Amino acid sequence: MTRPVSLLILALAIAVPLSLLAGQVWLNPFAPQAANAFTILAELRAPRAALALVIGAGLGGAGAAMQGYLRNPLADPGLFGVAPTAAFGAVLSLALGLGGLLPLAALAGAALAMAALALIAGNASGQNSATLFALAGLMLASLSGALTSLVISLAPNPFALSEIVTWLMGSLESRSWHDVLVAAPSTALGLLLLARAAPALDALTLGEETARSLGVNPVRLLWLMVLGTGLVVGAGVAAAGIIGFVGLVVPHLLRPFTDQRPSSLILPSALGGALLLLLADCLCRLLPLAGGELRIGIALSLIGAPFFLRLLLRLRSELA
Amino acid sequence: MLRRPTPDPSRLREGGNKRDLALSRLREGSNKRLLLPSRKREGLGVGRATALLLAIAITACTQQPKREMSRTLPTIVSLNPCADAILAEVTQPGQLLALSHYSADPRAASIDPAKARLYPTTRGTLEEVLALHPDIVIDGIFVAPATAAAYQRLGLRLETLGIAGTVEESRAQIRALAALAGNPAKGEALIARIEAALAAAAPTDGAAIPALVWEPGGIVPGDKTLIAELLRRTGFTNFAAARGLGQADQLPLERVLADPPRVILAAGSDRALSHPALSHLTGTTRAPLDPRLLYCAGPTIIPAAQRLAEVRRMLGPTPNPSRLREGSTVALSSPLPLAARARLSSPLPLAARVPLSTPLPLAARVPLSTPLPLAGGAGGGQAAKHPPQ
Repeated sequence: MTRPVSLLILALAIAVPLSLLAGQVWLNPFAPQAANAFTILAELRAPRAALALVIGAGLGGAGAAMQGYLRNPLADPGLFGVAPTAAFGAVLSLALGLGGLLPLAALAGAALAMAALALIAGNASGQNSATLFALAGLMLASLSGALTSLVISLAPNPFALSEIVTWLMGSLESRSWHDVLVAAPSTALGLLLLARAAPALDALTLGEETARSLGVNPVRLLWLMVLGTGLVVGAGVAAAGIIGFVGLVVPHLLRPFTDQRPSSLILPSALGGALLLLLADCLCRLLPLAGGELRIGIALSLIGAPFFLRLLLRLRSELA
Repeated sequence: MLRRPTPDPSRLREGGNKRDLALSRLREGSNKRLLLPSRKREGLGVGRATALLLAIAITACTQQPKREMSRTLPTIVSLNPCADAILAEVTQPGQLLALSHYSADPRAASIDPAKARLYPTTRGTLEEVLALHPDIVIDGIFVAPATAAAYQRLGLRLETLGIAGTVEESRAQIRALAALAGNPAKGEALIARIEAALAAAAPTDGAAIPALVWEPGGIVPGDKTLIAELLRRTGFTNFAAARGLGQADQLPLERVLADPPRVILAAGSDRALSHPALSHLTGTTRAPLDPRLLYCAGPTIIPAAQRLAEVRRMLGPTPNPSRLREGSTVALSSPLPLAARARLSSPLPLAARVPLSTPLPLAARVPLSTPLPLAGGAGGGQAAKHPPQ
């Protein structure tokens, strides 16, 4: 476990300073000549990199925890329906012309999703609680997806429409330290909760009955998971829109380098998620497109999908 | 303005010959103006202007006899937000049956909200228009072909209004709409008011200040847009065009910081436009510009010119603009936007009503990515507004 962690920290230590060079304006690191070079670095690129690290770490860690909790390699932090509900809150604020309240609306949406989960499946105990939660989450995701589409189709004017659709693709463009402040505390809190759930997740790999006999309280575990992922995903959506892929892919990429226990995967996945999002954001900053910056969801798939496919190919040959 | 499918068949029969005559005369008379090289480059301009004249010619003939005009003034339904504002100025009471739904939304309207409330609005569906049974329907040039065909089928006369990229084109549009409405004098009065506003907004000193009109998403206007002409007429130069950027190109925040303009006219607000890093720019003034001033020509030119002139006056005379751009002399950066807002909400005639007096939730507007001239943001609206037929 220590090897991937130290390697990832080393990679981050290299990537973060380099990422400050990525942007629309070339800043010579040895003799910056552009006007306002310091402002560009300190107010544009640094908060952006910090936000990529925060959100990436949150999504990576939450993904690892979710896959451990549901014991399903397809699980990702979006499964509880928190992200689409948070996005619905944000879209609503955009459609009503209250763009300034967007982070608040997104967090309110995330809280609403968690409250709805509590109402629907809060009392569930026993073997099917996780399934019940996942299904409730899927339904929440479906409902808020439909509501988001409804708001889009009711958009008051084409400008609001365009803004909503662009926002939904997720981006770290023009973020400031303020956004970092919005996302960092609740991401940290969420990761903390997930880390506290880690020992129980390890026990869960032996099966639910065994875990229970080992002293795992399934209800407490469930709530740690819901609160942890809710905080992480809500903060991410509030600051950058919907960013998929990280939570699903990063744990898979890193699992072979760990001892396969969920608890030993959370930290590497958090670091890996931070690295992946940072690299993807650098790609966004460097690729000027006619319609504006490359969207981070697209960049993530461009970077992550080939890795993932290669991983699958190797798995196939191992299985054969 | 392009004349689309249907003039009333009966009217055609009535005045066919006269119309042709008038038409050819009008065309001869104004060919020189139509074929100005700048217009040719605009592409749309010539066709639009020709069609305008067509419309004028037809109306001129079909409105006979003149004595009965007040009784037979045509009723109009407007589906075009830019036409809304003009028609409200050039029609008699009772003549304008409905405005477009954009005008009901103060965030999207180019018309004064108080004035807009006097009229009903439609969502722009054929049924609503049919129920009102106007003599003329006015829509944007991006009207869906199926809708245009339906108007023709149902015997409604459809006129379309294009996007005015210059004050001259706007003048022609006003004349055409006033003629359609049977009130040419009101059109001339509106044009006179626009001219007066433009004259009043002309800078007193000669120096032109580089100004960046910056819209959400980092979008900048090209040089062949109405706002670019208004900038020129009010003592500014189009900063973006000077950097080789065209209509609806994007200027990212980093580039603005690395090469700041003397003044940023922020039309709307998004993360980039209100980014805290911009407050580090000394020597750059930031002033809000109500994005509604960019959508349409017509009467909107008046508050737009007033606002630009106001910003220009705040900046004062510039004997040496290059020195100012260094930021060494005056630090004008910070509190100006607020001050400008406060000043504008005082009861100025039109400027106050249209621009900044309402707490506009400006964040809700990112311009379309289609390369529409700025003045035609609303034209884009027309393109997007028709539900799939």
